Parts: sequence; C-alpha cells; structure tokens
Amino acid sequence: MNPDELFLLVPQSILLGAAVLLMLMEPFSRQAGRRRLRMVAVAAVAVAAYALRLQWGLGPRSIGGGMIRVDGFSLFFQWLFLVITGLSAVLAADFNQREGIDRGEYYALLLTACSGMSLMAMSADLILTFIGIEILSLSTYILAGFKRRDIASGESSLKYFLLGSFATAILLYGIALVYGAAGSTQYQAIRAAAAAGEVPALLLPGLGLLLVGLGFKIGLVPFHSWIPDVYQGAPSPVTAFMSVGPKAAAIAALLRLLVEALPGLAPDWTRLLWLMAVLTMTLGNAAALVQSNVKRMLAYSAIAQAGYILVGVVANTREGFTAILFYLVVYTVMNLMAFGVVLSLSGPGDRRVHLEDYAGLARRAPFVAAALGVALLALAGIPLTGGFMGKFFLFGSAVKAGFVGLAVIAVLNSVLSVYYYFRLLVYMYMKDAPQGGAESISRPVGAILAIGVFLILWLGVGPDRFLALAGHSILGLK
Amino acid sequence: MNPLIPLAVMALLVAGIVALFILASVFLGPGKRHPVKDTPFECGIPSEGFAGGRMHIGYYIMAMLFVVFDVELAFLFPWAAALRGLGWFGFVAMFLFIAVIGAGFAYAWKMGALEWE
Amino acid sequence: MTELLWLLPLVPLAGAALCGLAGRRLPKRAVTIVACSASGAAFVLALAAFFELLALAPGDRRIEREFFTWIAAGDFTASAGFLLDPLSAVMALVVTGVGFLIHVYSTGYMRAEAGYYRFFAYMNLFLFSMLVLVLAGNFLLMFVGWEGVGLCSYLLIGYYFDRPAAADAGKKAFIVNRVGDVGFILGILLVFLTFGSLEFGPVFGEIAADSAFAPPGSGVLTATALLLFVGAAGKSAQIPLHVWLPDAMEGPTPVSALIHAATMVTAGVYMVVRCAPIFSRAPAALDAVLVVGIATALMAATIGLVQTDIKRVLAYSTVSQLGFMFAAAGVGAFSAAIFHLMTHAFFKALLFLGAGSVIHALSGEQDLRRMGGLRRRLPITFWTMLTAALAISGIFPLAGFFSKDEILWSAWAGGHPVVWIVGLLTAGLTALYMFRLIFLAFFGEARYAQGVHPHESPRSMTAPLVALALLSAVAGFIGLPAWLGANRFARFLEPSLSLVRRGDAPHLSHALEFGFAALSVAVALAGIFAAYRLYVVRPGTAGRIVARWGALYRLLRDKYRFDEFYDRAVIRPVLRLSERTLWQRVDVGVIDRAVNGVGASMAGLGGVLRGMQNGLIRSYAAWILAGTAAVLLYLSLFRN
Repeated sequence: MNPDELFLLVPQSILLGAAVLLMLMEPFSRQAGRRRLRMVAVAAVAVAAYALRLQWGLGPRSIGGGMIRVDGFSLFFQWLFLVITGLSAVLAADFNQREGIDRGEYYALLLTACSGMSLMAMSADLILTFIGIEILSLSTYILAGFKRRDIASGESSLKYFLLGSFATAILLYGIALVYGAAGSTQYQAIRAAAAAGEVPALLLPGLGLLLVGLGFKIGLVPFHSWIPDVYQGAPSPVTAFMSVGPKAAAIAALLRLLVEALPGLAPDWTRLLWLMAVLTMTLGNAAALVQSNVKRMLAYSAIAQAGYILVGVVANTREGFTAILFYLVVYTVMNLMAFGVVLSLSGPGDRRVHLEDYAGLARRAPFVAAALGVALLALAGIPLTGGFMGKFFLFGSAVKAGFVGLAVIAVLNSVLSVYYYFRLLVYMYMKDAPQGGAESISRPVGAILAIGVFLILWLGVGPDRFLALAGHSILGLK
Repeated sequence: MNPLIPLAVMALLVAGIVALFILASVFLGPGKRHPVKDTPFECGIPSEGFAGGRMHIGYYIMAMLFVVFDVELAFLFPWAAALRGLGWFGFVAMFLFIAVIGAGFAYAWKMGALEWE
Repeated sequence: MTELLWLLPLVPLAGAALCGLAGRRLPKRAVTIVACSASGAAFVLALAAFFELLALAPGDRRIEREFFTWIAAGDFTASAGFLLDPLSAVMALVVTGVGFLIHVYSTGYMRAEAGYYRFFAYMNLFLFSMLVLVLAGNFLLMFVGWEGVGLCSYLLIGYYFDRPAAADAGKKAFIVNRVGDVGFILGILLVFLTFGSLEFGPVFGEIAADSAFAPPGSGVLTATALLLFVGAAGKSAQIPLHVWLPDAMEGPTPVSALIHAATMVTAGVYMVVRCAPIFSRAPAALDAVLVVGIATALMAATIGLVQTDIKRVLAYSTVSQLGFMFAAAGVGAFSAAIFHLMTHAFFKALLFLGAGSVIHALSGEQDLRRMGGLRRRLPITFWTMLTAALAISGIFPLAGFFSKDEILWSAWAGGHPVVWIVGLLTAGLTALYMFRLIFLAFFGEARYAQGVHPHESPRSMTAPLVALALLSAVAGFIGLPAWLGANRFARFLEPSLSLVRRGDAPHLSHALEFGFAALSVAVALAGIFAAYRLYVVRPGTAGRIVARWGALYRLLRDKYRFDEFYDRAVIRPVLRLSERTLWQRVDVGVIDRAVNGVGASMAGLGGVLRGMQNGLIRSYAAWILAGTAAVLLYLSLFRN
C-alpha cells in the first residue's frame, strides 16, 4: 500500500484509534473525567469528517488491490455514518448518566460500529463486506446488552447475537457459493463471470443466501423477527443507533453488491425484492398498528420504512438509487428525532415508553411534543416534510421503472401507516395528562431536535440540494 | 436442462445419506440401555453433578482471554516467516497489531479480568 | 401585486406562527389583532391580485409565478409555483373574504374559550393551506394544500378534545378522508404516469390537444377522472363518503362556517373544475359525478328535513348544496358550479354564523325544539338569517336564485331532464327545511329553558352577519341569466375553462329560460309556504305526519342508516373475521372498533404477527430458516 492509499483510510484509522484510546481511558481515568470520554468520541467523529472532506472531489478510485472503493457513494455513506455516530453519542450522554452506564466502552463500540459500517459501504469484495458486517455486528451485540443489570437488555443482546450469528452463517455460505460460481470474491470479477455467457448455476443460490444475510441486517420480512424484541430491550440510545446506522449500512452493501457484482441477475433479484418489499411494508405497518409500546411501534415502523426503501432498489434505476440515498438522510433525521424524544422521556429504568406516558405531552413539554410531532408527520409522509419528498421520489422512481403495482401498494401502505403515527400525536395533543410535572430535556438533545425540525422542513420544501448531492453520490455506483 | 438440477440432486443425496446413517444406527444398533451408558463421556472419569450447573465466571473469562491473546498472537508465526517479502509495510502493520492487542491486554488487566477471586 | 403573489398565503402563515408559538404569552387582544389583521391583509392582497387580473385582456389572464424549482429529479421537475387565473382568483377572494369575516366573528364567539390563541393559530394555518390549495400551479402543491386543510380540519373538529364526541368526530373525518386521499394520490400518480408531468399547464395542454396517449373518452382519462373524483367526494362529503361532515359539527361554530361550509369542503368542487379539461373528456366519469352529485343533493335535503340540531340541519344542507355543485360540473356547467360555490359560501357561512349567534344567545342550546320566538330578541340575527334562508331557497333576486337557477337550467339545456326534475324537487325541499329552521327558531313561542335570557350578540359578531347578508343579497347580480342580461361571472371565468371540451349547446329561447326560472321560484315559495303551514299556522301537523309515516321518518332521522350500514357491512364483518379466524390473542380492545373499519383488518393481521412474535429464539430462527428456503425456492422455481 502506498501513502496515497493510506491517506484515503485516514478517517477510518482515526475512528479506530479513538476507539482504542477510549477503551484505555475507561480504566485509567478517574470517575470525574467522564465528560471527556464523550468529548473524545465526538472529536474523533469531527476530525474523521474533516479528513473525509479532504477526499471529496478526488474522483472514484480503488485501493487495497481492488477491495476498497473510494467514490461518491462510499463518501456519502461514510459521512452519513459519522453523523449518525456523532448524534448517537450526544443523544446517549444524558441517558447513560441517568442509567449509570456512561462508560468509555460505550463510545468505543459506537466508533468501531461506525468503522464497520463504513467498510460495508466501501467494500468491493465479499470478504471485506463480511468483515465490515462482523465489526458492526459484534459492536452492536455488546451495545444492545450494555445495561448489564437489566434483564431486557441482556435478552435483547443474546437474541440479537444468536440470530445474528445464524444469519451471518447463511451469508457466509452465500459467499462461498458465489465464490464457487465466479472463482473470485471481487465484485468486478463476479460481474464478469455472470456476464460471460451463461450464468453459473451456483450464483443463483449464492445470491439468495446473500440476500438473506443482508436482509436480516436490514430487517426485511421474513427475516425481521429479531427487530421488535431487540429494539425494545436494548437501551434506547442504542435502539436509536441501530434503527438508522446498521440499516443504512446494510442497504449500502446491498446496493453495491447488486449493482456492481450482480447486475446480470437483475431480473431475479428485482423479482424477489419486489415481493420482500411488499411483505416488509405491509407486515411492518400491520404489526405497528396494534402496538402500545412506543419503542416497539417505532421498531415495526422501522421495518415498514425499510420496505419503502426497498422500492427504490427494485426500481433499479439511477432515480431509484438517488431516492434511496435521499430517503436515508430523511429517515436518519426523523428516526433519531423520534428516538431522541423517547429516550429523553423514558425516565429511570427506561420504562416509560407506553402510549399513555405520552398523554398530554403537548401541555407538559410543548417543544418536545412539537418536535416529535414533526418527526411523526415526516415518518407518515405528510407533505411539506422531508418524509413526503423521500417517499415521493422512491415511489415515483418505481412508477417510472414500470412497477406501478408496487408503487400503489406502497402508497396504500403509507396511508395506512398514518394511522399509528397519528395515534401517538392524538395522545400527545388530545389527551389529558395523568399528572402534571414538566418534562425536562437536556440541552444537547433539545438542540438536536431543533436542528432536526429545521432539516425535515428544509428537506420537504427545498430538497434540491440534497437531491443533487445524492444524485452525484451514486455516480460511483456502477 | 436447468443447471440447478444437479444442485437439487446433491441436496437430496446429502439429506438422504444423513437420514440413512441415522436410521441405520437406530435399526442396526443393539440398543441395550444402561445407566452408565447414558451418562456423558468425560475422559473415562465417573461424572458427577448436573450438566446444567453453573460454572465459575472465571472460566469463561479465561477462555475468552485465551482466544484473544493466544490465538491472535499465533498470527505472528506466518508473519515472521513472510516478513522479508512484506517489507516495511508489514513491519509497521504488525506493530500496530501488537499495539492494539497490548491495549486490549492493558484494558483486561486493569479491569481485573486476570484476577481469580 | 402579482410579483408579490407568494405573500398571499404567507401572511396567514406568519399569523399562524405568531399565534401558535407566542400566543400563550401574548394577551388576548394581541392575538386578536394578529389573527384578524393577517386574514384581513390576505384579503386585501387577494383583492389587489384580482384587480390586476381584471386589468389584463381576457386572453392574458393567466399568471404563472414559479418561485423556485421545488424538485428536480432526472427529467422530472416540479416547481413551487402559483397559478393565478380567474378561477383561482375567485377562490382566493372567497376564501380570504369569508375567512376574514369569520375571524372577526370568532373574536366575539370564542372570547371565553380557553386556548383562544390555539384556535386562531389553527384558523390562520387553515387559511394558508387553503390558499396554497387554490393557488397551486401543479397537482403536487395542490396536494400539499389539500392535506394541510385536512389537518387543520381534524385539529379544529377535535378542538374540544375533552368531549369524546368531538374526538370521535375528528377521527371519523380523518379516516373517511383517508379513503378519499388514496383516490386523489392514485389519480395524481396516474396523471404523472400518463403525461410525465404534474404541472397544470402542460398536462391540460396535452389533454386539450387530444393527445395520442389519452384521447378523449379513453380508459386512462376516465380512470384518472374517477380517481380524482373519489378524492373530491371525500373532501366534499358526497355519497358514500359524506358521513363525516355532519359529525364534524362538533367543532366550534365558526369552524363549521369557515371550513365545513364555505371553503374547505368546496375544495373538491374546485378540484373537479380545475381538472375540467380531464373531466370534460371523460364522459363516463362526468356521468358518475352527475349521478353522485344529484343523488347526494336529494338525499341530504331529505335528511335535513327531520334533524333537530340546528347545526346538523345546516350540515346536511351543506352536503346537499355541494351535491348541486357537483351536479353542475356533471352536466358540464363548470362555471355554474363555481358560481354556486361562491354564493353558497356567502349564505351558508351566514347561516352558520347566525346559528352560532343563536347558540351563543341560548348559552349553548342547539336543539331546535328548545328554541322559538327569538325574532324580537335577536333582531339582527333574525333578519340576516332570513336573508340567507331566502337566498338558499332561490328566491329572486337574492344570490342563490341566480346560481341555483343556472345549474337547473344547464341541466335541462344539457339534456338531463331527470336531473332537472330531481333538482327542482330538491330546491323545494331546501326551502322547506330551511324555513322549518327559521320558523322553529325565531317564530312561535319560546321553548327554551326558564332562566335563559337571550340577548343579541356583540357587534364583533353581528357586523360579519350584516356584511354576509349584503353579499348574499347582491352577489348574484354578477351572474345574470341570459334573459336578464349578460353573465359577467361566466365570462370572467371563461379563460380558466378554455381547454374544456364542449358539446354543442342547443339554442333555447329566453322565454323558456324565464319560464323555468319562474317555475323554480314558485317551487321555492311552495316549500316556504308548506313550512309556514306546518310550523307556524298548525304546529301539530308535523307531529301527525310523523306518526302517519313513521317508518319513513325514522329512516330520515337515522340518515338512511349509512353509519349503521358501514358498521354492519364493513366494520363488523372485518372484526368478526379477525376474531374468529385469526389468533385468539388478537387484542381487539387495542384497536378502536367504533370508527376504524379499514384499520381493523390490518390490525387483525397485526394480531397474527404478534402471535408469530412469541419471543422464542428457536422459533425466530425457524422463521429465518423457512424464509431462506422460501427465498431459494422462489428464486429457482419462478425463473423465466
């Protein structure tokens, strides 16, 4: 590796270096220095983002013998992951102090997870994709169980670990089959093998198993069963992180894999993903309707949202991929906002997460209720919010690609989803609070909510610049 | 012919052979039951206690530390053999690797993982 | 002014933001000033835009202002742009004018309410959304406004959220409107799919050029028009989606006047007229509009005959009049539909505000059976409401006469004699139920509770009544029928409807038209006379009729049992299905049975999923394994 290539890996090195530093700081620093841990994590994210900024405009290139691709696509996702990680660290701060889990390992694991996600987006080789998934997964397994004394958290972690290992094994088997068929794990080589005359027979089951493995991470039906339990049991800031970060990373890996390695099998995977998209959004929404636990409702909502995103993959056009990137930004903002409110209000022990706990919130904390309201409206896809724009682009791309039926199902689904998002709104605005007492929310979380409201409205009213950015980013994907 | 047919045939064969062996052992085995035969085999020493009993947490930690520090460091042998070919890049990379392992070791030590209470 | 067109909706938005964000800390007086001046300023701006438009040559009266490119994705672009043409100018004037008067009225009516600022924030927000809706230059922006007015409507219906009826009504309006919105969204998608654009200009231009994609009468156009009409029927409360509007009367009375009578519910009519180039080329869809419209008009009028809640009588009257507007569109008389929309906005807002004044005077009494004799106690309310009642009944020369007569005449001239007869009958019923209301409330002896001392409302409430009464009286003169002069309104609107496809109108004599007008006035007078006989001369007669025709009476009183029908045909079967065939763990208590029929089936599915979600890792792993097998099978089996 020459210095040029190393330069492109500086952001990742910063993240991992900071992770090691944080791990050492935990036992070697006194109790009073806790604040510093967060500062180190946020600073590492900021420096990595700056290092990433220097790469912008270099043009696409492959490094590491063709294993790693640095292009608009991976830069976009690395940037997104850094934002997610930074915000998760900030959101977690007060919560962790309240729950007594404000430890250096927490932030170290966030950073390693971020690094794993970035590798998934950059990878042009099945082996590296797998390594990225593993780095991410191991970090999130531990994070889900970070509240060691809490039985729900432990259950969440164990379930995630066991099912995750199972899915990883399937993924690995898929990699083996694809390797057997193509004779290489590199995306370009796989593509060439599929393009040369007849498609090797093993490639198809290989594709299927890879889709299962990635579908598990994204949370596609029927591989979604872990999501409600794990999201509900994990500490709320971890849930917030998991609902956006790993999902986006798996979608990035999926896009790279399908578009760069397996375009030859496009008829097959669009057919399969069409069905999975329909199942995912319909079942996700249907299950969300009957939830009374807000965290669980948001978990099912996250499943349904993954279904919407899949619509763009099925479209398999430039517009579709642009829409996915755009929607991922919107989704990140609105979901982090929603979970930001949830984790701030959940009270000691992370227990106050039922619909009733939100009754009369508009009276008790008007700003928080308004921010959550905006996030919910965006999740429901109400016009003037980024959520509407994102869905419009996604479904529009499907219509254009000729998948009218899918778009109609998606529209019907998003109309249905309005019901449960609005139910929470009704609780906040149209019910009386059981008892008074203003809610307090920490200043950083408040600032994130305010910025989030602004962003959601901006994305809804003037999506142009973000759309141009997304469109530019997918140019690397080929 | 569908290229997937050989694959399906192989899958059937595998399942069939597994089923065959299991069934064969059920039917062919003498099947005499005896309490001693039903106990798990433990190096020939008579077993005692329950299988579901709890083990001291120290065993798990020790096992994990073994995986981390022994197996990971076994990586040093191939590296040493190939060092000439790898050059300075390999040299620096391995020292980074050792540094990270060392950091982990320090962490484990300081957190008290090496103590058997 | 047209350069500043963007200011028109933004002024009420600013008012809403100020009232909503700072209103809690502001004194009531400041909220009043902000809200009223925002709506007043919007009216002045609309007026200025209107006159500027008037100054242009008729052919040039189409001003498109694109503020910024809203979305540019590939070859698809949508601009955030407004379209000011005669049609949207008329709508903007009605919305801001009536809106301003109702804001003034509300300062008196809502004075004692908690959440005064909240009310005005919603009202201003409503004005903003409504203006976006009518000024939008493309389907997408129109949809934004469409959803916005819907949101304000739910919020305001549920304004008294501590009353369960109000919360239920809000939910019902919400769910019924979702059905309509699905139609609208799918219609928009279909337009996009067919024409590759959502801007009104190119889409309608393409249609008017009888393009090869969508020739007149083609299935695509018919489907588009029908889907759009489903949306319109939801918003404008047409059969079978009319059930939400009467319940919406749970909101404060000024809300009923502004949103559920004068403006928002007419958005469906506006949308159909805006899309007239599509509808006029889809005869089958137009027939559907006609049938639904006239059937709704008749049905709602008959229900209105027997309601005892003063606001519900007016609500059914609104549904009926909206039916008239759709019938007008259905026979191709689009300008007549908008004309009636405008006059109706005046007199129906007036009726609601008058009813509010009566309710206010009687300390919240809404039952007509407990009113009576208020004529002398509330003189201004009485005289203004009488004007409105005469106007809606179609008595010459008040506004309703001209607009309703134009619709009836268009039906006859368009070759729909049955529609004409039903319309005439409905007009007679309209006079009957409206004067029943007037006689019950203002004549006869006082039947309200002892100790209530009705008094005329404060000037802030009576002044808007007088202004609206004047408008109800004279607004008709801008649309004179041919036998009296020239229809300036239709001529003004003409540029907006230039792309409409028209058949050849048969030339009928002015004398015949005059005769028809005289006939419809006679029918209206007959209705008034019947009401007079029934409720003033011999107040017992009505009771005897009810006794004689008990079954019919009960059918009308129960509103043709639409709600019961939905309950039986949709909600309960779905619930039974989910209870019997689905998991026993379906927790039906979680879902709201009463109002949510559509949701129930999905909730049933949700219950099944919950059964799957049993928390055991081994069963989750089994699902994943089964899913993997299914994926592999699906991939390999259905390969073409």
